[in-house]
Amino acid sequence: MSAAGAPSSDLAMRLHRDLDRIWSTPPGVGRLSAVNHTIVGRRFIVAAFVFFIIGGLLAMLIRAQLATPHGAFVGPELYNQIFTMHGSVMMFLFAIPMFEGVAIYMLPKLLGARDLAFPRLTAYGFWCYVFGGSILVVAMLLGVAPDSGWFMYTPLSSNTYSPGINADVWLLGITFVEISAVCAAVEITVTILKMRAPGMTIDRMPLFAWYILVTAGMMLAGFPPLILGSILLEVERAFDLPFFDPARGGDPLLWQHLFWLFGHPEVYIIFLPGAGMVSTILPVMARREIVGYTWIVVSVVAVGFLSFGLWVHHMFTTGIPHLALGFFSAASTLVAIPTGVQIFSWLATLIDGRPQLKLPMLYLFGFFVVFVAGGLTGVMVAVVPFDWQVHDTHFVVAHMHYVLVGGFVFPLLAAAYYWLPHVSGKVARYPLGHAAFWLIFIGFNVTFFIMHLTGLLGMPRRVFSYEPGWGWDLPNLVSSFGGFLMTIGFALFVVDMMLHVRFGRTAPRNPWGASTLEWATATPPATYNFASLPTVSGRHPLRDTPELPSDLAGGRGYLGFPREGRQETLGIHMTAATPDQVIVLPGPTYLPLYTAFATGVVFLGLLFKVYWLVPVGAVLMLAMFMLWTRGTGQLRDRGPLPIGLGVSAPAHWEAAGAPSWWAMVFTLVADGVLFSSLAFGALFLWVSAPGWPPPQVIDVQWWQPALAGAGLVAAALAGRRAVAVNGNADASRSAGRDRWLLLAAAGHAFALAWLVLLALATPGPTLHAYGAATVALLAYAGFHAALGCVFALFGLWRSRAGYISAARSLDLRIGALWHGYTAATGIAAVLLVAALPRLVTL
Amino acid sequence: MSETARSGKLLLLVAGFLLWSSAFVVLYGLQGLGCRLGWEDMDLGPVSLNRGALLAAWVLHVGLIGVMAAIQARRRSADRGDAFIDRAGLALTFCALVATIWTGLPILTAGSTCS
Ligand code: HEM
Ligand SMILES: [Cu+2]
Repeated sequence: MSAAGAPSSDLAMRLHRDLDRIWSTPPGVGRLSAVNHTIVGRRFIVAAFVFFIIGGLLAMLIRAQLATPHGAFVGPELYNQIFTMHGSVMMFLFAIPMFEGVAIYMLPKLLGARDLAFPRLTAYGFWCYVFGGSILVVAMLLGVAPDSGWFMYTPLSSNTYSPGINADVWLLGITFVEISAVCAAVEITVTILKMRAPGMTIDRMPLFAWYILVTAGMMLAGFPPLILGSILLEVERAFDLPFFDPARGGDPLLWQHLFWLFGHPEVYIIFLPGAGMVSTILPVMARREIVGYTWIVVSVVAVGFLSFGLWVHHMFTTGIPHLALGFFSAASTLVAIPTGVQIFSWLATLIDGRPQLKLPMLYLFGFFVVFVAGGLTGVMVAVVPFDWQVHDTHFVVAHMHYVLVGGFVFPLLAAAYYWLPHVSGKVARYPLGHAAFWLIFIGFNVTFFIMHLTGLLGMPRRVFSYEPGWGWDLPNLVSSFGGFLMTIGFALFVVDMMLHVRFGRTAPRNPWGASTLEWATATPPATYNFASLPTVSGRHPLRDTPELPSDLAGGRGYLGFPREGRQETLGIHMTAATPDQVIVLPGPTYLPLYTAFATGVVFLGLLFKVYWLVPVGAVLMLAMFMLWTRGTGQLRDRGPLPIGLGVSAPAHWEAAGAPSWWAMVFTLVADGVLFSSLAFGALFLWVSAPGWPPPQVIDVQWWQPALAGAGLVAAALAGRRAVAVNGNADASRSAGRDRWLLLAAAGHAFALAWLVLLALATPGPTLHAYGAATVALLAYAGFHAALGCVFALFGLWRSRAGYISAARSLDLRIGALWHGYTAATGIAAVLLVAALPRLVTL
Repeated sequence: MSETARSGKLLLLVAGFLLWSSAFVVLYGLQGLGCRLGWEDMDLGPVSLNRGALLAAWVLHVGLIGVMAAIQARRRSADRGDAFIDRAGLALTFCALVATIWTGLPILTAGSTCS
């Protein structure tokens, strides 16, 4: 057998050697330049697991402290850091990156592609994640970890009550990590929509891809509010703009809104990938196709939306009017239904199938028991009088862990055992996985089941110590003992993984008899996944065509040949799933690492208040991103390229819906959510915050904001004209195109100047939240205008350098998207700025 | 660009729930705004101006989603993938319709709109 698993014909061997040379990552230090999704996905998984261990150790410290009354282990200051870090690490540095890692590793293989859409972005996201996470961990080692809880409520986290660097560490470190999450979300969305195997219409997509698609969409809508909140709070802490200070027209509730607008969907962002793993593994274990594919898709999409209508249920005790609460209660009751639909689908699949109790199934069994129990206590806390009893007690800690560990950790462990043969090419030799399961399962329930009781007995959460004799001694001791058991279980799991990789037997191909495409690769997979790309004609490609793996390895699919040493994969039409472009991907490069370094300079400059470093880092970052474009594009038109099987398709820079064009669309969606959150914030403060109207408002004539808006509109129209002129076939087009691009840049610059003038005219941004919000809106528009200028000039440079023709218009079209967006949001921003002075006097 | 036009079909999957989101945001925003502007104390026929505005926004959204559902119910695409979008999209729009009706019910039941 060759490494690609092909019948060892010379041809297949040569194909494998050629492709491997094109796709491989250099050894040694060169591995830092890796951009390949298999490698970076693995790194994400390992790093996230390391953070899981760190979070777990912190949990053990908590349990050690709480094991006995008057625990003398740590004092209150340290305890606050420990539980804050535990929550933050588990949510931001373990759960989200872990699912990203699994998605990054698995998606191209499940979909039948050779890599994700933007390999360098994958690597950049990874480095941002590691750097941001390291900031938090180093801060913890230095004793200055964040200590205001993982939700960072103001005013506790504002300067007055958290004067040190601790809160800044959270705000900046987590935002750094969030960049990586948004990058991943954009990349995942584009990959799923554009890079599936030909023939894989969306009704044939593996359910895992559906779950991940919805999750990525939720991230695009859920993370921007948190990023905005973090920026505003950091600006308040650093420059005293009082967004959250009620004494100066701010409102702590604004933070709660922005945080929970992210925070509640976050729970589903963690749960949905877990459920996706269940929906993938369970049918294989049950040896039956999943029951109700369409219903699962419908319920996942529905959950994706409904989970955004619940955020205020974390704020039921903040004095919001009953009617508003009513909307949120109503949505809260709805969200349980789609989850129920999925559970019934799984049960039906099990009942109607012929389940085998293999190891992954055992962990799925753990998932069912724990998650359903968590759902039941969830129903209990949804009953308002009951919630008043247990609010902020350990009952809630118990409920939360039943849901999170049940909904994510158990499916993840099942997935670890399910896909391990794929990653390592080996199957386990020892039965340690069973022992690990029982230790984790029993340990978990011993820890957290009794915690319900501790909570009912009234023990509050987030306290570092308690008095003896209140009935809390024994249950706490039991919980700590259970935590200890669970830890042994996880240690055993780690040992099992290591033994497996080191001593496992070689895995047969497709050991579980699955029908999805990832099992058509060699195990472990080759650098390029598939020697040629499959055509799919149903939901179960491997079952429908058992000879598919050898066909693909033999080069009998699409792109079964190397071309000019380039990394090629296919793009399809989103709904029809016919091949519509050859996507050429970049190879290994250090640029993502360097760019992440430059990003780190920005963040460290902010963290240590060395503000001159910030623009330096930002310029470096921009320069790096410019360098990314060096290897892309072509100096001449190529026309359609043969892709095998008698079909041709253009290269992606000559295709209409190139991945990067779509990436800009989805980035702007996320950006639009950020802008809406900002506008919401400004209006919210006016409507709800104490201390309004402000003492002074901006004094503008109508034509001042109008001029700013006009500059943006001119830029947007010029950007569109440039694209249109470029499409005309006459010879003068290049000069015309360049003129329009110059005009676009000038329009942005003009608008920027007016926006700056308006910001300077805003009275007292530090005196009242009104001024702060106005400046924030102007800054948002100004930032986009400045980048718009860069985009236009970049287009001009590309045009001069010969990268642009009627066919090769991608750079211009991407720029046009940006210009249009900037005009739309910029006009909304100046309108709001102009309207606020009139509104506040109403 | 035929690519973008045809890919727009995917929006049929989420159109209903996008409208639901709009209903949600508008209702929540309008409620706060109305209270800030004192609409609770102004009358609009039998109800307060605030409640009237909320009712109007709610009914408008329910109507829009209803129309959306009616349009989707009539689509019969030949292509497999598109037929799936028709089916799943209709189911989703229908869910969104029920969700919007349900989410807005407190407008009818709440005593005052501002306390
Ligand atoms: C591995 C076993 C785990 C143990 C023994 C454990 C234990 C605890 C304990 C005792 C607390 C309460 C701290 C307090 O209120 O004083 C806590 C809080 C928390 N845990 Fe865990 N945990 C574990 C795993 C996880 C996982 C996997 C996640 C998320 C994916 C998670 C997320 C959280 C969060 C968000 C909090 C809230 C922190 C806060 O109140 O600020 N935990 N954990
Ligand atoms: Cu919630």
